[in-house]
Amino acid sequence: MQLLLESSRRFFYRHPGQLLLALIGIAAGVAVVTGVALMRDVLIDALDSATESLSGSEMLRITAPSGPLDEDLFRTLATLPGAPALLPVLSSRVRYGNRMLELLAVDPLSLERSSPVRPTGSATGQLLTQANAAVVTERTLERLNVDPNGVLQVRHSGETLNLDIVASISGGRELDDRIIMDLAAAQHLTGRQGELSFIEAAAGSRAWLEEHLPDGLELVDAEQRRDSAAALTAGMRANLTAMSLLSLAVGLFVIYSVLAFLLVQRRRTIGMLRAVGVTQGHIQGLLALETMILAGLGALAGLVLGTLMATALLELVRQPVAELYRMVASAGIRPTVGLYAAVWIMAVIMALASVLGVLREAQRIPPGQLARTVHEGNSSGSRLWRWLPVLLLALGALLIVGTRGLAPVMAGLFVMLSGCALLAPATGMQLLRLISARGDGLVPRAIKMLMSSRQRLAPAVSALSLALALSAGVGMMVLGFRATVDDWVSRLISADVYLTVSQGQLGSADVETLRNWPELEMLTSSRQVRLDDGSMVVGYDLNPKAWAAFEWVSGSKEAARPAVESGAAVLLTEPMARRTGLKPGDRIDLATPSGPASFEVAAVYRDYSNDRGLVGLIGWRFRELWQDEQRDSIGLYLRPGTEIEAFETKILDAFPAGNLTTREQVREQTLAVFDRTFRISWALAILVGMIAAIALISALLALGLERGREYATLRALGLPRRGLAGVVLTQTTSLAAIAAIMAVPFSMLIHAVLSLAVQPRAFGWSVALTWPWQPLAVIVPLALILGALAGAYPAWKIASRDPAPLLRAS
Amino acid sequence: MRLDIVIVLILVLLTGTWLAWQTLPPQAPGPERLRVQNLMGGQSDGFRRVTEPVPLSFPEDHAQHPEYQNEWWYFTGNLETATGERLGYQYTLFRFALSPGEALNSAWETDAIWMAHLALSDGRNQRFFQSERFARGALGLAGADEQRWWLRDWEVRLGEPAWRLVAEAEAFALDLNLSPQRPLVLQGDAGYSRKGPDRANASLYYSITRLATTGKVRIGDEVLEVVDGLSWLDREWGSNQLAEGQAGWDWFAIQLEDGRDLMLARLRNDDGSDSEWSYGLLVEPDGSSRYLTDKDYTATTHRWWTDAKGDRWPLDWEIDLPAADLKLRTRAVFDEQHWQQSVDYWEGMIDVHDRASGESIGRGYLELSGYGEG
Repeated sequence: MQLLLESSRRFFYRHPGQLLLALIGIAAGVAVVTGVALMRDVLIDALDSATESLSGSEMLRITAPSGPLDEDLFRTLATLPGAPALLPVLSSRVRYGNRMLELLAVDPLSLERSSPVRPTGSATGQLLTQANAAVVTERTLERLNVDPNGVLQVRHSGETLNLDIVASISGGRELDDRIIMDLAAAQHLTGRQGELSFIEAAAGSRAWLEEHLPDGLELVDAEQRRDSAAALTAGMRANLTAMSLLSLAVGLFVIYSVLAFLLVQRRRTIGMLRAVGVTQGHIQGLLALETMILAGLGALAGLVLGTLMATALLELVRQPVAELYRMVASAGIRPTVGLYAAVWIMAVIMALASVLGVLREAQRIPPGQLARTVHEGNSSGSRLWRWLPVLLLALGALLIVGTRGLAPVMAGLFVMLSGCALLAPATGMQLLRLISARGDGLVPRAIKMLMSSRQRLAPAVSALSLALALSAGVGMMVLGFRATVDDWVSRLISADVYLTVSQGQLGSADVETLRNWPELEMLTSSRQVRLDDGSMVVGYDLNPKAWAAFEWVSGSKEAARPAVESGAAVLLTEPMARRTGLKPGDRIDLATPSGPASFEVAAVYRDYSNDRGLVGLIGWRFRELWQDEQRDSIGLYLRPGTEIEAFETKILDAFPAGNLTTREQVREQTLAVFDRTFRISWALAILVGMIAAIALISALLALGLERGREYATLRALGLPRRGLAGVVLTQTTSLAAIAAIMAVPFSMLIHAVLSLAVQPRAFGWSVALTWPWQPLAVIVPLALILGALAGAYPAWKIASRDPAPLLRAS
Repeated sequence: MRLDIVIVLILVLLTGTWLAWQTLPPQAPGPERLRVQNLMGGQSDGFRRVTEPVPLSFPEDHAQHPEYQNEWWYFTGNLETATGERLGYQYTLFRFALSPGEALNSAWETDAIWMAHLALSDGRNQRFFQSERFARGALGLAGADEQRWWLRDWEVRLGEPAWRLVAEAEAFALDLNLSPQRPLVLQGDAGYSRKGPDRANASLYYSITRLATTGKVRIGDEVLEVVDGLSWLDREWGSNQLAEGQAGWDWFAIQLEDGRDLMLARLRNDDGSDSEWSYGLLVEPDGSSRYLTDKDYTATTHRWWTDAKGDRWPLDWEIDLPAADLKLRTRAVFDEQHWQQSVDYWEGMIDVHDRASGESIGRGYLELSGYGEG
């Protein structure tokens, strides 16, 4: 064994480039998996980590079923005999430039002694007495690029708040992007007098709280909050996981292609070793050990890269998570030994599995074989093997069509992609054959040469076409989805301008006032409240135009309107209907502040604003049940001929705190949120593309170097250096070309599955299938350029080499 | 071993270490300690200062004095259970005023930080329990008026004929009835208690030196009946009491069996020496009292105790008060009566003996501040 190890060690010394490519390939795949896994965990813990670091973990939280708590509750509870330690918290979201930050207002004097914000030191005094004193962590200062003791200018409900940073604290990363203030100052600044978001209590105080809490309030423990955060972000996380596993698969192809190539390079050595009595088992053991060491080292590097990358990936998802799920996720990842170990072991095992074919081939090397040439032999294999790709595609399709869950559709996609991976080389070679069949020039001859080692090239072609297809397919899905959302929002927004004001300042009286304005033809208004599971109830006051703007998924739109307006029925969004399994005619029960209420489902409409779903209720019934006269926004329909500028002035005179948003601005804002949401998908698509580039270069370099002897023969037969360089470049470029061509149908398949099956099952909404061509226009030329570039080095090397020594070997 | 293998192994080791380091939880900063100097000295702009005797009237002056920077309501007491076992307790309500800021439109707006200290010394098995709380002076969470001194559910109600102290912490609880046995006494010059060279290094200070105490004490799940006990109340308020160069104090509250009560406040300079501004008060059984200066008594440390952190505390003392014919030895009932929360100090029950005869002639409380902050 010692001898064997020595031989492989010497081999890698002679081919450091191969070693490096193998390491990079596996490291890149593992890095993406690690990065995404670390980021996913943050999305689950996001709700808790900040307050946990202030008040301790495993706290109980007192919340109201909808809306804020009354601060009197704290007064009452905290002064009752035997009251546990309670921490009142008022959480608000504020904007700093494009960033969403959480303004976390607490009573510093109710904090535990170990909390980073302690009731001692001069900062506490400042927090308690200054209207704009705030505390942030040192890291947040750096992230926001604000001076210590500087001023942090943030926006809240349309108003600018200038916060004085009176101290920076060295709290954990959970407090990143949190601004900590005193309750009095925060209520004063945000106008949220009398409100608390929730009260935290020690985990051991459940019995006392259950005895003393007034009816109608809820007590949620840390586990329940984690579950709800997990449910909230389930769709997003499933998508990310699938993407990361696909990246790993591409990385594994790289290691496979490198190891397969190494085997070719060492056929002679292995043949000699076999001749001197080394058993097949020993050879296989050696190759397996090699794989384990390579994969182990590469995976280790991947863990490091992934950890570094996770923070960057997290930055991409934090904003959309804040916008879509109203959670400011922690900026810090929390790696665990368990996660590292799991990813590492999985990578090594998958690497071993991926080289099983190579091991089998090594077994077939007879003792004494000295030639490096691979006998391609009859590559067709068994009949089953030939039909396997078709079977896999059919099985994948069956899994996707025949099931309802997200997991089977992901599995189905994987199975289909495996089918594609098997299909790619054979089909690609057929394509090459077609090209080379025409004429007898240098190019067809070069391609024929290439085809003689098609088995060797198969994994590379598979890896390349899949990686390219993934990048392009995800890109197509995002662009197609964007077009759908654009279409939806453009249709839905029927008013000319929308009026919003800072929290809680538009009421029924304002609606009545506006109704009498001569400039206005009609109004709509709406009020949303968030339910515990992240879904929303909306109270709508709609006019005929707004009714017409709904896009119905199911239910009769003629029957729906009177039923909803009577207050007996509600509308559901598509995600709500899909998540609950309800359809028109079914009944839905809602927990309202006035007690439970049951409604008939009148119809289901298209909506992309909330993946937990919305229940639409007629305004008067909503106000009755929720005892809430506020409006979030009022849609204004101007009479023809109204001067918009003059109207704006009039509106702002009447509503000094008001904001007017035009139809076009609403559309732009919606698409901006969409674009931010899918930045992570683009980032992962680019990462997969980069791994594909590594795979491409590794495969093509291997190809160029492997065929050194054949090239030498061509040179000896009189082919000039330039001609030889041309042969090498033709071969690498055409290989890249067939991978790119095969990637086109594959990417369409991926796009279709993602749009038609994954989106509805992960988020609950259906996406119209369109065929954006831009990603394909990028990847095909890119593959060709990379192919030419990757051929350049071997072409130059081979062309400049003396053919004699290479030929002498045979 | 080959050099390349060594290099790879080193790289693997480094990578592994880096990864392991990533999994460590972030280090939380250690809790901060309040310093007596900061609490009692320093800036007092905008607050009223005590520079001369001010006529005090009751019950009005039982309530808080927000125009002064700090203030406390300080109970200590030695108790005896039905089975003759000894307990000691402390309940203190502190008010630290905040520098006036801008007016905030919020019910949480406060002008002061309130802190309460609750401690129980269990003489049976020498255990010391302590619990600390903070609250803001808003929403009725903490405060002191003529009838009630409270922080959340810890409170003293000034009823007739007895006062009632109710305070419950997780590990222990007090429910005591306190009956004043003699009228309150004004400390210093008619309540004006000077502590430094500046006339403004002073507080307004009165005491009730004997309150007969009975009630209940809970330790864990065990409830003990208190059948006998004597408590002591100190009430003090002012701004910027401690002068520059003063490090802390040793305070004795002694109830002698002959009916006399003795308070000694030995102020210490930064260099450890006695301050000339040390003072005291001797209360006769008839309630009459006599002001003591540092010339009237000597207090010498007889035994030091070193805590786990390495700080030294003078727990046993020899006190000479020639004018009252007293030569006393005081001894901590046990050593571990050490406050280790936001403020680091020692406060515990002591036995008082006559030095000549060795007989026990009284009990009391000792407070040591400014030793554990180095």
